[in-house]
Amino acid sequence: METDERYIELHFGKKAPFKVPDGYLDNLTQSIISNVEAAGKEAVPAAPTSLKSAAPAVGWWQRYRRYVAAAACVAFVVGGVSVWQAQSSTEADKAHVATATHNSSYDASAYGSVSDEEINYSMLDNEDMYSLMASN
Amino acid sequence: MDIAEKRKLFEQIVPLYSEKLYWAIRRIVLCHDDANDVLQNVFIKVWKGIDDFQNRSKLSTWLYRIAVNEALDFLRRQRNVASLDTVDNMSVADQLESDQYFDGDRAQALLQEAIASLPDVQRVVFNLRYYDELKYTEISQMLDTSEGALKASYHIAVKKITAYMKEHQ
Repeated sequence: METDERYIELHFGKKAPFKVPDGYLDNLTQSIISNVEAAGKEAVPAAPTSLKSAAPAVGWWQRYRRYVAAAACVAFVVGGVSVWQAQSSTEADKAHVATATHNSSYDASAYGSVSDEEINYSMLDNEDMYSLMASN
Repeated sequence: MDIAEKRKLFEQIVPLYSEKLYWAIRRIVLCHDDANDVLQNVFIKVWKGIDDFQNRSKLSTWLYRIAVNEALDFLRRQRNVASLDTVDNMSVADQLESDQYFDGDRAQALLQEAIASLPDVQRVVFNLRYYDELKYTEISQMLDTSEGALKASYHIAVKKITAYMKEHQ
């Protein structure tokens, strides 16, 4: 490698073959500082003169519209669920009433027969019970 | 750091490093106008980043790193434009010889053409080592690459350049 590096150095030297416009390097510092200042002015907006002007000009609707939309969604979902529940419970009540009506008529007859026997038994006293057992 | 301190530091950095960085950039991009544009961008980045510079590396290493990255970015953008432009297909040596700010002969122009034909890392390592005579340690910090890899890159670059020059002269 040293031979190759030496070859380049011997034939072409170590000075890069470039030059610059007259006075370029003398004014380079000032040119860079001016350029950076100019870039900074473009990038940084002018300072606001008052707090009011610093605040962005955003209306009530723009500021709260997200919250309003979210509230509307929640209200829709809650309303939908309530309506669905109300409809479901109405149908369930109707079914329950129908079943209950059917059951009550059946139970009434059942209760009626049981009640008669119970009444008959409840009217027996000990004397009647002994005579009934003796007759059997 | 308040704005006054920042400005004071910046005004100390610019005269110390602007010329060195200009030449480091110029050797990569070759054309004076391009080098000046890249240098101006480098110092805008330095101004913006000076608050974040935390002395983890030497100031000069940080500045060179920004300069080299900006110069390589410029070359990549230029290559993308050139790949779309089929009219301008002059060789690097021909372009340099027609440049009023080129200060060499045909052999020098060919040497720059040989350097320009290298891959980015080899090109940067060769320039920083051969012309700027920077230590591998410093180049290693600058490019975030191991010294061994840099030595290998330099070795390959020198071989390629020598072969190119022997072939074209």
